[in-house]
Amino acid sequence: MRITQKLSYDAYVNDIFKRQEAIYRLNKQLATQKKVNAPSDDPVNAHNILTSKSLLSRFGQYERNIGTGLAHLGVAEQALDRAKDVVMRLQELAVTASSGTANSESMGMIKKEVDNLFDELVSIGNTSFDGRYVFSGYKTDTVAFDASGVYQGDANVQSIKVSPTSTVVIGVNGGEAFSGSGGGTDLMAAVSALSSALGSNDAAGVLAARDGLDAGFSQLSNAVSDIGGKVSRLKAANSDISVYTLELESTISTLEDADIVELITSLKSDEVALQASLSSAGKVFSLNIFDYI
Amino acid sequence: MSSLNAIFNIAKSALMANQKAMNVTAHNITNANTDGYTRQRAILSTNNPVNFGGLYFGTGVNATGIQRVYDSFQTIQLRSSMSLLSKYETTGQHLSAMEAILNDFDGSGLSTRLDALFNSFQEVATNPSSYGERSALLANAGVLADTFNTIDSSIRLNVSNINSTIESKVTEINSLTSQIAGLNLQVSASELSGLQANDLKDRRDLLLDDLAKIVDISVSENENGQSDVFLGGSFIVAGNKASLVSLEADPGEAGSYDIILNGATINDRISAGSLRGDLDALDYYSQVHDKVNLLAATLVKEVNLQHSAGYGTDGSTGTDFFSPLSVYSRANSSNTGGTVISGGTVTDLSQVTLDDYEIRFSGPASYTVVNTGTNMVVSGGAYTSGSAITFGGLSVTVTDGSGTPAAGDKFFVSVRENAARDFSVAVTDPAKVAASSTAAGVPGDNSNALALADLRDAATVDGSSFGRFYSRIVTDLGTDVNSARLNADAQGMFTQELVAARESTSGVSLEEEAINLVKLQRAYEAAAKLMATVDQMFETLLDIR
Repeated sequence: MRITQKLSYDAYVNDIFKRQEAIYRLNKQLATQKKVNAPSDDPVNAHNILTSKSLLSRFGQYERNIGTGLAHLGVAEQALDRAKDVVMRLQELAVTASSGTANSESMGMIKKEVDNLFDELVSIGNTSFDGRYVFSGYKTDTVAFDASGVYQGDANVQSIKVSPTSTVVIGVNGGEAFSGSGGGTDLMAAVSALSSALGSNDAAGVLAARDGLDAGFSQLSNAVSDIGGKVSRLKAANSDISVYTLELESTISTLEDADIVELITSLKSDEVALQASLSSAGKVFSLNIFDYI
Repeated sequence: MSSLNAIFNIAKSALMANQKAMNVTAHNITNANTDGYTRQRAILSTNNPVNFGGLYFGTGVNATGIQRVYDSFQTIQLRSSMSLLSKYETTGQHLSAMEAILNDFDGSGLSTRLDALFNSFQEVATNPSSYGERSALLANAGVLADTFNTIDSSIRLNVSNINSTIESKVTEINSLTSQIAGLNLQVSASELSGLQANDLKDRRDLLLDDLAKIVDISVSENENGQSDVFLGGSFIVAGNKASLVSLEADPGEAGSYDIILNGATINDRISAGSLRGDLDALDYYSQVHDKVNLLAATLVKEVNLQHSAGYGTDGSTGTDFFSPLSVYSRANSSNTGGTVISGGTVTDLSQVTLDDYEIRFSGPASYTVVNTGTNMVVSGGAYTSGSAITFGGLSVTVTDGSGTPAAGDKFFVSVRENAARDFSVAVTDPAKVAASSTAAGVPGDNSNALALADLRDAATVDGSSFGRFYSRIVTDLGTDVNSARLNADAQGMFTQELVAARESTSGVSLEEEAINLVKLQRAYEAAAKLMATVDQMFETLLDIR
């Protein structure tokens, strides 16, 4: 092949451009610490990266949902525990009142305490969290119980998403837990009945109210253990999410993060190649036939 | 006739011929770096011999021609390779620009915004009665709308830039072809008078190379040395006449051009060159634009349908979350009848397919409505001026304007056409966000917000969820950008090889010219010596007395 000056100059220029482009690309990767900066850098994995990132953002949301859910359930659990204490005290009082020694005077004293406890129970039923009544179903802006202990909310319970496919209820319906709507015991009515039985010195009425209190207590206990189950479900979901998140992060990192060691090694080798090109070009360009004739 | 005089003449012819050859060498050396220069060679040949006394005596040397060292096959190969290369490079540039518009890897793209919208719906579902989450939802929806609008306007801007590139390329084609035709005239004038027009041909080749970078041409040289140039099977330069290329607006598609040569549209007959790259990129842009519009329109449709079924904390219902879809209708520009189309509205959003429709008139009194996405006839009947035509949840009105419709008239109806441009959030009051699916007074009801959040995974767009559909657009684009880049790289290497091959044949080697220089100098000196010797011989002769 006949090699002309222009040909060798062009070849050197092309070669040097190519090396410089390679160095530029490597430097860009080094600066961003990413080997994939646009889908075209790795079209095969681009879909994977995008999907993983979208999943990651979604899991972040589920994590926030679970946080809110746990807070709600915690508030409900505390309230129900306090209600259980109140009911226990009421049971003690009812036992005392139904013992043979009670007379109308002591019954009157007990009634006073029962009435106070009733008010406390109503106020527990009206627990609010973050400006919302916890036990009134969807009617979070309405008090759950009026002063006479009648349920004001609806029959719903709020639920949240904790994964693409599962939903968890994050609360307790006050109607069910306190008023026995849907086939349970109306605790509030039982307490009212106790109070009026005490007021009328009705020992049989007190005895009947005790059954209501017992049933109400186990209803509250059931609700508390339900909450426990939900809390552990949320925690399980949360730890699942942590595992997935970690996996996703490592997938994304494998796919898009640059390997610094590899990057610097190839950068060095390209630099050496560029230097070789330049020095060889310098030597060849200084060869000139006109120096010899 | 062997005489001292004859030897004188021979020496003279040698001086003249070597001087001419030296002239060619000088021309080569000075043009060593001239673009498109083809090295030249002086052809030296012996003069006709004369018969004297039964012997043939030579009569010296003559420069009979100056030849271009040129391989036409190499040139043809190189030109078609350059056409392909510039097509790949141009497409690659345009697609890269689009990739920059849709790049989602930096966390500010549409898929991030879609995720943020649906996360916000979840957030509202978790705290349905809280003002903050609702207001954050509206903010995120606003950012999503901005992203759609920006993508749309960037696509439109790039498309109009590509169109102006096409305009300037057509101007350049016309300028190149008229220069080529002008050079053809000069070449044929000198070749007819028996002279070789080497440098003119070099200049013409350079122009042809430039032309080949824009469009793929085929060139044939006729007997007068004129280059006839064909583009898509049609003359663009015939001898010293150039046919002008012109642009006309494409009646079928708004905002795109038909390229006209000799009265015919040649868009599809251009197969390479940067102009093909531009046309391919335009096709690509319109496909992607259509997909983005479909995504936007589907999002509006699905979210609005779900949202309007719910209730806000203020008891409002039937509220559109995003601004409702508009119906775009227009008459085909080649319609011959006098009817006009107007009044497109969405009458039933749940029936809207988001496909494009065409109302086709088979005569002044009857029409059919065709879904151009599925190619199915969806409606039809007798035409009455001014009465609404309804199909697929849409209603449009065709009215006699300056006359009745003619057979073959078409009207185009689309809901998705400008969906990304029009995309905006309609709800401004956070209380109107319909998180609840029961009527007023239940602020804790989050079931509609959950249903809205669930739209994220519903297969609503072309069998995919919103996020998946968009990531398909992005990854397809990434693959195409990558393959355009690989094609351009491979074609670039091949072109370089061909350039090297042409340079190897036609390029000026300074070593070669330097050696020629010495060779010719020595020959010139020898001829001068010959002349001096003959002169001495004359003197010797004249001294005999």
